[in-house]
Amino acid sequence: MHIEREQHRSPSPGLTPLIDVVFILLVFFMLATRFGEWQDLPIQVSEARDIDAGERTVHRILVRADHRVEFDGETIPAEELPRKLRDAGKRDAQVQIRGDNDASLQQVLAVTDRVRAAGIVDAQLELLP
Amino acid sequence: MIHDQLAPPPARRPILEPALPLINVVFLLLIFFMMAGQVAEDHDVDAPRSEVADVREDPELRTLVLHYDGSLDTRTGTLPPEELGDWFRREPEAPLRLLADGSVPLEQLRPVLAGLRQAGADEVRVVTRRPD
Repeated sequence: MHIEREQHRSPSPGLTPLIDVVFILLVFFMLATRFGEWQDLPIQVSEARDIDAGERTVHRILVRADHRVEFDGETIPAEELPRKLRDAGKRDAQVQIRGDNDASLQQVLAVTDRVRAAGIVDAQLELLP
Repeated sequence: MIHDQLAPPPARRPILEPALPLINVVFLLLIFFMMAGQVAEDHDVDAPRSEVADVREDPELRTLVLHYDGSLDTRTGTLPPEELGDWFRREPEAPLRLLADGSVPLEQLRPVLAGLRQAGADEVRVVTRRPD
């Protein structure tokens, strides 16, 4: 019996499926990947917390949902907060930040950012009542 | 004459040669995406942006996900609010990350934190990302 040998085979027949798989993997990773590091912000939730400011000045900030904040009882736009803190003068003051029920987590964190940006080191975030 | 001898024989070019640079680039892109990124776990939760958070994330830690509608999720599935305490007490010593949607009102966040406090938690790490 005469079996004719195939003469015209492609020189690299196994490469095309490999390329297909690599393309599919590439598309998967492009769609499913997130870039940029996430950072964690530790928040104390235990009841026995020591937030005693000692002799230092304490400012209380209440974040409201309408982009305004109450700074020691006075309602001001959130943008004015750094100026208020600078006018208050004391960088070693403790700032306690609370939020209204309607205020979002993002709004409270944005206010915390502003307080830190104003040079206040001790900003306490009070998410629990 | 010498030039003719050094020149490669023109008839023996492999068929796939024009595609090879493309394949190389695709491989490089694939390796880049595999190395440089992390596979996102939750597309529907938009972590709040913050500059003050300074603890590097540890994806190995157990993570509690709080969706905008107030529902809770863990890696193993949906967590009913009444089971939050039991879930926490399974590993009370391990640090806990809370991935809450940035638009979640505090009204919905507070019961979760209060539940964790009741279960004995001292600290919760709120997951944030850097502002764009």
